[in-house]
Amino acid sequence: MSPTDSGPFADEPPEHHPTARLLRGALTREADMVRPGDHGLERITEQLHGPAGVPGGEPGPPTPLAGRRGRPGWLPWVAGLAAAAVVGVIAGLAVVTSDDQTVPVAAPTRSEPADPTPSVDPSGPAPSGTSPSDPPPTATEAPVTGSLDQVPVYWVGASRASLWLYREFRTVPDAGGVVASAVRAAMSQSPLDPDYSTPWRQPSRLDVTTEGDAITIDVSADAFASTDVGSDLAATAVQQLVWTATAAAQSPGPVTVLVDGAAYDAWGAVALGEPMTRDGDARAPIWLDTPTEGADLPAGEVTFTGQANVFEGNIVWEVEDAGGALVADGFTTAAMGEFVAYTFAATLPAGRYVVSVHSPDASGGESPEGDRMFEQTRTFSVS
Amino acid sequence: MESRPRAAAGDGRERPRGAVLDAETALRVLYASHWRQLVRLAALLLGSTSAAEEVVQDAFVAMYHRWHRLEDPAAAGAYLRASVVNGCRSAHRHRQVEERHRPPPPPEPAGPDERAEQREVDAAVMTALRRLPARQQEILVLRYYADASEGEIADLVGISRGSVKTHAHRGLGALRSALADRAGGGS
Repeated sequence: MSPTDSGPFADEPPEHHPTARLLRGALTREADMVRPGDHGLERITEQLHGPAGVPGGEPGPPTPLAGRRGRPGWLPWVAGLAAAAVVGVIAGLAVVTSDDQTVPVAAPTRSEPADPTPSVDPSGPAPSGTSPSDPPPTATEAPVTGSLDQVPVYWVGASRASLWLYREFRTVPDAGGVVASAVRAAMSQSPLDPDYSTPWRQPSRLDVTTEGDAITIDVSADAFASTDVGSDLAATAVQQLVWTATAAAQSPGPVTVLVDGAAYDAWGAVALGEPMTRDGDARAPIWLDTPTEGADLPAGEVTFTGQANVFEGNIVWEVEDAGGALVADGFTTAAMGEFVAYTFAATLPAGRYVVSVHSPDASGGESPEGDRMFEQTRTFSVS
Repeated sequence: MESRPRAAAGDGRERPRGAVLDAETALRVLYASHWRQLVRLAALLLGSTSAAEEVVQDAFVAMYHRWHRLEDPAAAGAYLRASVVNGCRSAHRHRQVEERHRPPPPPEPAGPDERAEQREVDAAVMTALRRLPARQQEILVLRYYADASEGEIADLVGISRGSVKTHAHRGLGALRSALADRAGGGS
């Protein structure tokens, strides 16, 4: 907390300053001791839609993982920028403008009737608040028959009051080729990271065809069943498909989305039917690629990777343990003006952790959303 | 809090405002970004985490029903904050004086001297704060924890700026004398 003596009142009597400082410190530390429970969303949803699963809405036990997730935009927390590496070591900085480094398991075929039987799609649309238990793509297990590994799937996330695309590499059911499987996952599965979401509903019919670089997605109208989708979300959701399909195909596109074979007005906001390419501005300024949400990693040096294009190229990273204590932090500097890969590493004993990356606010913390711009958090464990 | 985040200088990647999500998505996104901090704020205002969680849940339910009129995560964030402050005030009205006099948790005995001393001071400050009138507590928490400006507090609490100032000054003055009494003169 900044030890500023004067508050928002310029005319505060000077004799109040020491008291104000004491109060500020006490309130901050008192707040840090509050451990909000993790079942709020369940209980809110229950209040809205009636009980869904377990009856009884008793508050769950406070969880220790109350770290940086959901740091408030409007509380001027001071990022520990000055404190560089405490335990962690900046391993290095790759300057690669790498894009989707996917390893397609199956080459895209010319025509892919992609409508798997329900048994091929065991995870299906996950209920709100839960994540499908896909293994992290980095796992070295043998591939399950009928699924594809390392498939890039994009999701929608909000930051700075804007919507952005974020990428996860997923193990997804094989829906007839990597492109169809990726698109189907984007429309019917849930993101691993609870900070992401998508307005798409699982379509009853989905056909993906490729011809050269061109990709055509023909989907049933029930994919648009979400209501109240505004124009910005609609545009981002359409780009979610464009980015997912082109990443999986490793092609520049274009991507044409049809609804039952014809042009369509998506959520009353985006005209579909014409070939589209990637909107470069849809991509989030900071991606944290690994570890994936919920990953379990071997103890020792843990390497974190991502890509970013932020002001002055500054990326601040922090690792907190299950008790919310900062165990490692530091920053990396990447080139500006293009997306570059960044990486850092920390040596961590067994335990649960939350890693966060953000770009420090260039405006000096005056932004009402605080100074942790484009923050990404990821929960993982080390054993 | 009414001002908009300005574009990040240089990266040119800020998109215009007006991000519009559906109510379910908005609920999930806003929950992820606001739940914990709102519970913390409410816990400071109420002195109880479980009561705080209830107030914040209610605020999210209200936000969900109102989403078609908010349509913007930033506006919804302000709405949530105002709902929480309001909710805490109503909750306060229904609680008895004893809550305000409930002592904070005892300081942890272990730790270096410095930290133990700080915990003692914190405990004294919190005890003194809890003995202030509810309105003064509310304003001091909003000001010194949430760093809300005079105008923001006036809007949130629904009183004039002048009253905000008066309450803050009285509250801070009372805290100061309470702490001075405790320390046997001056802090």
